[in-house]
Amino acid sequence: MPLLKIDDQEIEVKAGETVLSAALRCGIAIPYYCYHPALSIAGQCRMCLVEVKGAPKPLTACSTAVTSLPPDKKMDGKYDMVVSTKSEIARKAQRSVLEFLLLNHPLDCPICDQAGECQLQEYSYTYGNSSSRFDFEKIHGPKRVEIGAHVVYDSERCIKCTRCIRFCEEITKTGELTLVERGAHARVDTFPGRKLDNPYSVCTVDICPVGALTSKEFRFKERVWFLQSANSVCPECSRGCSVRYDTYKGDVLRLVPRENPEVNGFWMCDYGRLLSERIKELPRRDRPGIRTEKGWTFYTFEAFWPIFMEKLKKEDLSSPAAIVSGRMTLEEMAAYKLLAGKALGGAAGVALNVASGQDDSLLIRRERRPNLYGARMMGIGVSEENPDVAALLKNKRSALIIREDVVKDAAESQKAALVKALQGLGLLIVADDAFTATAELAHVYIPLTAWHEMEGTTVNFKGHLQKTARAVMPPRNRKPFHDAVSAWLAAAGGQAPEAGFAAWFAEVKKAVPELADKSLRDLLPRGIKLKEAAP
Amino acid sequence: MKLQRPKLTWWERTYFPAILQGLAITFRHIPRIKKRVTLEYPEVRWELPKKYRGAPVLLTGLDGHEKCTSCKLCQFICPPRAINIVAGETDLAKEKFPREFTIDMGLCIFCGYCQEVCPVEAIWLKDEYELADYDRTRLIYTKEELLARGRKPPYLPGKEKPLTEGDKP
Amino acid sequence: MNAWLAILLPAAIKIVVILAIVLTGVAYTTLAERKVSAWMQDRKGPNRVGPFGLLQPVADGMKFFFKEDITPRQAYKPVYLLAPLCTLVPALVTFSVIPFGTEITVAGKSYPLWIAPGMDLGLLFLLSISSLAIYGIILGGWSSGNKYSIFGALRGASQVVSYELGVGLSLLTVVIWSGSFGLQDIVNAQKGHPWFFLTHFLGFIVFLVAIFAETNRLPFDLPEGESEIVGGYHTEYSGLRFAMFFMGEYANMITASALLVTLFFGGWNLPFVDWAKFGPIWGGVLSAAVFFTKIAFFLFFFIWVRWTLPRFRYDQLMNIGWKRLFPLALANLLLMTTLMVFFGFGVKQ
Ligand code: SF4
Ligand code: SF4
Ligand code: SF4
Ligand code: SF4
Ligand code: FES
Repeated sequence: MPLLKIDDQEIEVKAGETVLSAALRCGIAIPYYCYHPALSIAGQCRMCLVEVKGAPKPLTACSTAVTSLPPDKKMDGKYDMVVSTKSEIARKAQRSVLEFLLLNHPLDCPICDQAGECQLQEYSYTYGNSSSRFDFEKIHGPKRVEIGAHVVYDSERCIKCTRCIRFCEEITKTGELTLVERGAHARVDTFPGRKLDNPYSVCTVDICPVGALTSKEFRFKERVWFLQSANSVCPECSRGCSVRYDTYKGDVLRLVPRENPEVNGFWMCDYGRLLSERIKELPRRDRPGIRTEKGWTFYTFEAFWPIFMEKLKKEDLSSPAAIVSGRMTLEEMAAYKLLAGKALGGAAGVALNVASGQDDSLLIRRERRPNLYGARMMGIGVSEENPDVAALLKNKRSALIIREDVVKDAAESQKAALVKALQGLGLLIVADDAFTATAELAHVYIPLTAWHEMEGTTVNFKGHLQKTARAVMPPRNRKPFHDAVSAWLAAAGGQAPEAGFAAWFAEVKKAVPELADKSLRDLLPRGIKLKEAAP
Repeated sequence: MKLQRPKLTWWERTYFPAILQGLAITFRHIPRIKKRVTLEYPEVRWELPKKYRGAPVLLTGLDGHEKCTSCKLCQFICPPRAINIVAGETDLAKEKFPREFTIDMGLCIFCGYCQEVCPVEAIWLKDEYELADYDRTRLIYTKEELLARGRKPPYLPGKEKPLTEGDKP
Repeated sequence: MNAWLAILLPAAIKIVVILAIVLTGVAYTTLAERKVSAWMQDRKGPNRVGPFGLLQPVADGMKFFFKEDITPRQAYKPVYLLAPLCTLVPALVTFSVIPFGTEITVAGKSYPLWIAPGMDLGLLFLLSISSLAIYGIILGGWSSGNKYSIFGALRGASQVVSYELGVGLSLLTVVIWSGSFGLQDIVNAQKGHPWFFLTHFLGFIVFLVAIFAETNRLPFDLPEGESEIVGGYHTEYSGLRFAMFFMGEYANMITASALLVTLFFGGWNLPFVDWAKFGPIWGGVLSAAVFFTKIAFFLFFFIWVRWTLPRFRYDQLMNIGWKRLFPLALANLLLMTTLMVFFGFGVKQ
């Protein structure tokens, strides 16, 4: 194996590995823009120039592979390549490239959304000059170009690294983008008549090292240094991409993908990303309520349970139709199982397999629920795709629906029948994070925390288990379903695990033998792949 | 460090000479009627130093719009977090503007950091100091109020309109 | 019936007059405090309410009256509410034994100008009553349920205990020399005789210093020590109840000044003046006027010292009390008794 020396460090590399990836592997800092581990190598930005012993000029670390030398030609007797990232030549190369990149750069930082997470800013501080020698009028180019429904392009800020172009060519294979014009006037544009409209378009914003591509939804919302982040999982399909929720003052402002090779690589789809917008539109009710002829009455969480128990005495909840959801976390499913055994006459429960669209070759899955695999694991049956819910309600006096808006998800042809079936029930309990169309038909409404307002664990379609985190604090009367079950069972006078994620995670551990010796720490940050136990 | 205490005589150690001296000093000030420093405030006013830091205000640019581009650096630097900005997009060249801009004058400590940090000189500490109110909510100045207070840039006294190109500060 | 009336009516009139004088005095001492301090600091002082700010005390009073009276939740209510009275009332009661003039003769009947004539243990009564004032401080501080208040109260208590000794011992010489505990006897003893501050200079100094501590005035205002313990024992008080503490402090100052005048500055006496010569009424009035003028001087002195000297540290306070004043007072007692017994000094009445 070739032996590489970078600065003072000796690194064994595979033949053909580039200097940059070897350096990154060993934590040696080499600045780079156009290199991206998931994309082909372009050698476009020249930021990664390093001095290579014996080479007549600095070489780009990203595109220089290390090869073996014959034993008698080894440098210093043993190295196949000697690289310096801090020598005078390397320093000068870095400084000059940065000066060059900044020649026509508008320095919009005060209004640029990238400021704070901008590689140009960071490298300028670390490797660049503090002032510019360029005294002339800068070249101006188009700003605020909407190259796609969710992406805005600013040619002045662009450093032409072509990451975005390569993403569209290599990852989504849609190839909307290209570089037009030449020299200082070069800019990224879509091919004539095309738009950047592939289902992963906002990923270009993530990989753009500067603020040239900004997301329309997040544009100008908040400076990134005000954001509070939580590492979580996207709940929008059974891929369960690792994401980060960025929030400010309790509002989710954006979702960005986290690197997780086993689940989503570096990407996530636009639909999942736009969850941040859909969250805002959900009709929320922050208190549990009971509907009588006179209409809804809402109570605090504590006051609700005794009244609910009174109501249960008059109704029959011995064998309800129980519709649970792949949107529940494993803890909530464990809680459902316990509740079913103690208060619902052992109702098996069925998790709806809501599906739409098609699986694609990258991430998007037809199953729109993140945790159906988990439901099977916990011994909850999963329905066929998009089932007729009215059929599930047949011959039932009562029903419990958790985290599903069956009315909205029903096919148009079945909707009327479903509403009728729901109205015909003697007791309909709906537990959900939003006051949905289904909830409006209910007799009892239990508000739950939304996916991003609670902790939990979820398993994706390949059996990869990840932990979600609480991105914002929920209002005090909205609880996760497992906490509601704790309160329910306590009010009914029975034994229940105490409320809170930790206690219920312990219940999950009992049900999933593979988790028994795992602690929460083992699940962070990327989760674990469960062994093939798929039912 | 060893402190060198002055050597005192027996008489001095009774405190009496010092006490008497002090009494004499204070007594001598009683009849100095001419040299009273009191400023009888509402009628007589203090002449403010040039760089006096009073209420922060927003300045209007040459184009008649607020200069602020809503970069929120002032919001970030403000020690008591008195500033709150909601940004929006505008068709003007500056792209970004403050949809809402409030300063809670109940919190402001007149440190002037906002003026210092602003990249476009849009916020300025004016020589205004009579800011008291009976109602805290009225101490939260909106963007409109801040702009109205900042109408006359303080470096061009007496100018009612926004500056034009010809005005030399 | 008539005999009772003959005793009670003049007493009632005297009480009303004295209360009026003392309370007005308290009010205007507060104004004087502010004015004099202002002058000493080259300021103008209050000058907005009335001419030269003369109605300021009225405005202050109204303000106190309308301020919210706050009782903290953690306070022990009954004691908390009564404590301010405990400082104010003793301060006022002490005036019952202080002779503030000779006597007024109306219709052949002479009325001595003090409320409780013939009280031959006047000084003892006065000392015991005036030391009750500290109860107000202790109770107020303790019942507030606040650590600063209790600190203030403890400081007050230990300070008063320490300096009470100095006061007592230095007074003893005066009592021995004049041969009586009656205040009028002490005053009379200084008639046609050098005032006691000359003959008992050491005792006078001890008494002067100790009385500053007893009244909690600067440089001995540790029970309030704003810079350390917020407001000390009255941290939690507000409105009228705070005003009572405030008035109590100033009333105590007036009492202290009255004591100083009576014991060491000849009471109503002026050298070479015999009040009897001014006629039955004017003699009494003028003597009272002289007495109050002397009090006013000492009030000024209290204020003067307050705005000159900084506060002592607590250990300094204790050092002065126990290691300086107490031995000094003892020495003074020894000296004076020696002089009297072996050298025949003293006042023979
Ligand atoms: S891309 Fe970076 S350097 Fe350029 S304006 Fe935006 S934040 Fe500033
Ligand atoms: S838009 Fe961003 S990612 Fe695309 S070429 Fe320009 S700098 Fe690179
Ligand atoms: S002057 Fe200081 S405290 Fe006031 S708004 Fe500006 S930064 Fe904030
Ligand atoms: S620093 Fe200046 S431009 Fe930025 S938000 Fe504050 S006032 Fe506006
Ligand atoms: S990272 Fe090597 S040239 Fe861009």
